[in-house]
Amino acid sequence: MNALGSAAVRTLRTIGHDKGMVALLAIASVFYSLFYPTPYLHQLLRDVPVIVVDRDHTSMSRQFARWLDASEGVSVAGRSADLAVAQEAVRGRKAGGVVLIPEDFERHILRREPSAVTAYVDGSYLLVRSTVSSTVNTVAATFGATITHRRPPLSLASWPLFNPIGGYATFLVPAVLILVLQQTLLIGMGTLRVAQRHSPVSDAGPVWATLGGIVMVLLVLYLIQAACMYLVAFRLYGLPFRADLPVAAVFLIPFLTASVLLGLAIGELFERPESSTVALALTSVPALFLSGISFPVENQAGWVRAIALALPTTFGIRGFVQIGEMGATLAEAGRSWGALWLQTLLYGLAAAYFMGRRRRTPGGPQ
Amino acid sequence: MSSLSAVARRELRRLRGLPVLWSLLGPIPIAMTLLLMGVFAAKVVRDLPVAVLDLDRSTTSRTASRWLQATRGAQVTNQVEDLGAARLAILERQVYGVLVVPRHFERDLMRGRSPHLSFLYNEEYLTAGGNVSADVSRGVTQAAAQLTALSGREPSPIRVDLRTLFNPTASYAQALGLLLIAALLQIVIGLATIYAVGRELADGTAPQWLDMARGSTFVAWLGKLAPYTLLHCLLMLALLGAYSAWYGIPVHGPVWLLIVATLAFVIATQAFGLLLIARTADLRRAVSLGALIFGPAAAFSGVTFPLPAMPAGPRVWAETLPLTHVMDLIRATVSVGAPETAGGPLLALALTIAVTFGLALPRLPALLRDPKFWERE
Repeated sequence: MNALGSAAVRTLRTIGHDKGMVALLAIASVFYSLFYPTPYLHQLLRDVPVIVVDRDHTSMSRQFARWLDASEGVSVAGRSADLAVAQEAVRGRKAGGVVLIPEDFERHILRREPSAVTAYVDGSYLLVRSTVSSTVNTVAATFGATITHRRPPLSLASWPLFNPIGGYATFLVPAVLILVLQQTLLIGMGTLRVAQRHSPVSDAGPVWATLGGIVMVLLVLYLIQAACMYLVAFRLYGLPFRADLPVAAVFLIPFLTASVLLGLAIGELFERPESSTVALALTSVPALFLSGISFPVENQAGWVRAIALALPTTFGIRGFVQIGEMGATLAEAGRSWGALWLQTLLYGLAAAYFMGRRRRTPGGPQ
Repeated sequence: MSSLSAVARRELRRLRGLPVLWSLLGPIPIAMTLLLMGVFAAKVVRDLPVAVLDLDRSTTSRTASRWLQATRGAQVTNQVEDLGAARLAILERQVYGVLVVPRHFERDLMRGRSPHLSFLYNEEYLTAGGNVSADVSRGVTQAAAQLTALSGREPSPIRVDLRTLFNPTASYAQALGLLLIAALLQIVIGLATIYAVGRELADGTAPQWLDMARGSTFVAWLGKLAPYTLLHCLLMLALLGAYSAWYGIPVHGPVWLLIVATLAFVIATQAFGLLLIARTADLRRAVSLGALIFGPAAAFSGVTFPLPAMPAGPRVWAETLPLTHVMDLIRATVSVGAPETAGGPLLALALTIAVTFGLALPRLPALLRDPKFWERE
């Protein structure tokens, strides 16, 4: 136990004597939780400009256009007689879509014949596409319901769960903050190992004590930062957090430990303090996508899903979203939690092996 | 001229001894691009697992499963017994949604009582949930229209036909992939610039560097940075080209404009990186700042979440980053083809180059000559 304690003290000293490491391991994650959500704070797209091409010129087609304009999702930015001209405005990014109201729109409705409008949407911005198409669908359904008082043969009610307004920040920010915890730990462990190996005071204790001491210090630093994220940033920005803090902490312990140990295992690769940042900066974006939060894992290639199993974020994001955003219990997130403990074991063995090998290298740095 | 090529040749020799730097110039971004190609393997969101909670258990209620089966986005994989099981299946991400068929569905349908289906879906996974719910809603509407034809009753009188311009299948590979590659490249260019200059300062090798340039500040800096400009441009065009070819993304061109856009983006990002290392004169701090600035840039690019919807502060920050403008240029020359929209973003990149380079400029002679900037570790 003595060896464990002295390894922890030594780790704390190494971090405390280096401004760069203090910034990275004790401040960066909290800073990030305040900075990263800012572009998404409005959560939704509102009043996306669309152009109406009205070929019907009736009171009903004009009323439909007014209803579109009154919706939350789109606003009518212009009218055009020419569909091609209107589509050019979408190409030139002046509008997000075109709504075409065909000839005989009113006549078909009055005769109780099916009528159709066409929404042309900009497919280069998928959020614009989904906002415009769902808004036009809602307006058409509501408009239709005021005209016919007969009920449809059956109806469908859709219920979005956990994120009822479909907010962009609510969806992405919790996942990204988990990613930030992992990435700062991986980079930070590279820097820490470089500093420890170059330190004149040598690693005295056994390998397990050195690893344990580092893990203890980082767990304390990161659980404090995580609490700040969820108590400060989430409240400040109005993001939902449905877990009890102790449950979230219990879930995060194997996630953070696995990240620290993975960081220590690959940290032996780096010879200079900034090398880990340069080498790992590019891994954040792929790691986020491998978790499946932005693009479903079911649609990803098998070999990519296999690689994803090696990353703490894959299970950390999945489980944390369950607990923190969907209100699951720890038992209901048990598979992810178990996978993180398995990673902890494997990366612990790997870190111990590489650290031991480095110590045995004759003439090598301690 | 010969001193310029001497500086450039020295740079390439140095590069061979810096594995972190040369990994950043090719192997790492290529590996990450391959990973992203695997992520978007299916290109579109399709066949996501959904469950059915059938409280009616009639012949008609079983056909409701088939309506889902016919959609692109959904695939029925589970039958659940009650709402508790439905909740658990969604929580554990076994399924992204559950269709609830109410009791007496068949009877109510036959008697014209307009029964109510419910679809519960996981909107915390916004991409999956949004696609599944839109497709299920479309599938049920179509089924309702067919039932109408049989029963002589009318569906909702106004149908909406959706046409997606420039990306007819709503491919995520097209809409997101090009952004992510450009975002990776911005990190590569920014950090490589910082590292190439910063190692020189950290190692205290500036005197040899200046010697090669025969004492000329201009030749020293141009000879150092220009080889990277060329390498970055080649890598970016190769990655964008290979990715577009693999996923069948049209390159609308003109190609010369894409090359101009790439060059402007590379130089703007180099100038940004140069500003960071010149002002800090500290390799570690500049690398950390670079990772902090360029790492999350994709979120600010306006491609995933458009610029007009951002608050003023983040929007200004977004306009400062070269990535935001090069994405407009990639849209204009690759995926959509609107070269007439290229003027604004090119001007913005030119402005970025002028401002960042202007701020870095006063430091450039001193970094080469003043030992107080060297070996500060």
